Amino acid sequence: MNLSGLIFLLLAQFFAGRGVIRLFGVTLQPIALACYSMIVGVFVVSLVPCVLQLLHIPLTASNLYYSISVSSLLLSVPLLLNIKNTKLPSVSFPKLYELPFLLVFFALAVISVWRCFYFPPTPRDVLTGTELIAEFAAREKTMINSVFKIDLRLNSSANNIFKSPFITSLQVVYKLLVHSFGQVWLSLLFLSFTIWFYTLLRQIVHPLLAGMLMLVYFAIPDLFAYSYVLLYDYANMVFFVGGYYFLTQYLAEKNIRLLLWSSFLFGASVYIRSETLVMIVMVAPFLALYLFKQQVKLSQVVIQTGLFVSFSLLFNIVLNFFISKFIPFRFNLGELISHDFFNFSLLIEKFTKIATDTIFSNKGKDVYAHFFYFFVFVFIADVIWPRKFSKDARFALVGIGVVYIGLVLLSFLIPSHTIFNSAKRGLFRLIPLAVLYMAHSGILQKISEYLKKKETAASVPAAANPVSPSTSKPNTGTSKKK
Amino acid sequence: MHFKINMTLVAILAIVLFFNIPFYNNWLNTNLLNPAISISSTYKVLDKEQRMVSRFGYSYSVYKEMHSVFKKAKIKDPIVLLPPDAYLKEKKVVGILVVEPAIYYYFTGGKAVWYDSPDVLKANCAMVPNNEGKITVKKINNREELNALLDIYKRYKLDL
Repeated sequence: MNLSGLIFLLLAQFFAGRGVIRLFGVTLQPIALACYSMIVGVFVVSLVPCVLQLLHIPLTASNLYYSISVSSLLLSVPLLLNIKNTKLPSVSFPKLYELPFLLVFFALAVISVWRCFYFPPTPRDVLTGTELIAEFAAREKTMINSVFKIDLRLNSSANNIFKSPFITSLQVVYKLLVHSFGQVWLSLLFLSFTIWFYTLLRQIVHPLLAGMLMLVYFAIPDLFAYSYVLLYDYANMVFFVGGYYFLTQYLAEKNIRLLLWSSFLFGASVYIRSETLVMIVMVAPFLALYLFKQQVKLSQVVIQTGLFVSFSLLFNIVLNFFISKFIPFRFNLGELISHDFFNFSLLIEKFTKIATDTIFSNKGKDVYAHFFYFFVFVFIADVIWPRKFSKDARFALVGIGVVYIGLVLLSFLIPSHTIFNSAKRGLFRLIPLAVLYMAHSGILQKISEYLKKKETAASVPAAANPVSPSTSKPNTGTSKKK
Repeated sequence: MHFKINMTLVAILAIVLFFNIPFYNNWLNTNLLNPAISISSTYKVLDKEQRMVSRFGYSYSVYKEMHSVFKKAKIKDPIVLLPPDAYLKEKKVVGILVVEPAIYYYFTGGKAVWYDSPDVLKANCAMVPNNEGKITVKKINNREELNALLDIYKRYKLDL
């Protein structure tokens, strides 16, 4: 492994991502900022080989070094302009009772990172598509390479070469600069997202409960496996959930920058998996309705909804442009779409089958373990008592509904989008939203308040602490710009 | 401090109880603590080829070996006709999975075809099982030899 190449990429990605965040003008808390700098940096770097390919510049290690350096430096300009206001972040250390959970998470993360580094990419979907193209792009210095002269089974169900160049590009970069299997970038996404998600949860509920929720989340066999197995779904989930979370932040804070930032993250998720566009288009009416209910002017509702979908549409165009330029075959989506639009019994069948065949089945248990049973348990408990669904809990439920119905629609419209094989990984997008729902659920919030009260009472003499911590609003990961 | 210690004990108890749920216990033990390929057994084996073998198994070694045989035999631009998986099973070949041409190319850098591939008529070598359940490789010298193999292979369904 080329350690200096890895360090170079870590720095380049961090500064590129940090610069993009600065361009959007969103102010995030230190850990969220560091994590999203890396996440967005990975996305930025994924675009570099595509640009080089468009300019007919050979994909060599030195060309990648220069081009990634230049793009990172350019994106760092907004940071340099504001360097005087840069302060070292204050980081609070975890509490004693978080350590057992953190040790377990650390052990699981080590296993994931090691497997990601050690094993070559394995799934057939990438070996017959993006990874295959990347491997020969690294050897032949071009994405349009000898792969397209072999039998790619284009007449059968395989259309893996037509998938997003996101993985291809990152694999080329990491194969040439870091390690012959590439893939380490997936661990960066995994670690950054996981750290951000945990810090977010411990801001919403008491850290003990956050640890428990995170444990249930971590121990989802397939989600954990795809943190080191190269495929689109984990990366797609990272950007989708980020987009959705910051959309809810926008609705709470009404800061238009958060809307654009959310739109950008959603756009990145569309670039990774184009069918995500269906879900984002489904979120748009909810946003419009919400704004309308808030008595926002109709023109503003239209503008803001337009801004919300803008990056998704833009990245979808960019994606299709790249595919048309890099793949010497044409892909006919029309052939894949079912024309049986009014077969409502099939639609209902798909609706129930995702639940019965994928989630609550023996196969589903191997994929998600008992995660969805925990979720349903918390939801039912919430319905019984305390029957309080906070705004954040309702937002999370809307997101869950959108992902679920989106997958139903996709499997209805595209018969090759099979329930078990395609929808099972599509449901990854829903899992962090379900965890967020549980964190915001009335029952966990009650327990959380109780624990926080007890903790404050135990640490501060009662007379000296007239303010109850239970009344304080949880900090939710963004900080208001001063 | 008592509160924090009590909470720590609660955290430990929660983790222990969680991993005592049969499914999670099994997942932890078989996939994480005692997996077939663990960190302790792999950290000294960093050679790329060995890692490929440990992931893709015996089949990978067979294809690599096969490709090197063609190279040694100085066959110009070898294009291998791969048999259907069902045919190998019928011939009681154990431990080898037939890969699709793209994966063969990924493994070896060499070209392969299935009987329904567009370039099947360009095949100049073949992977053929014998009656003892072993894999052999042979050079295809003429169209008759190729057709004879295709006649056999076409009786079997191809599975991706």
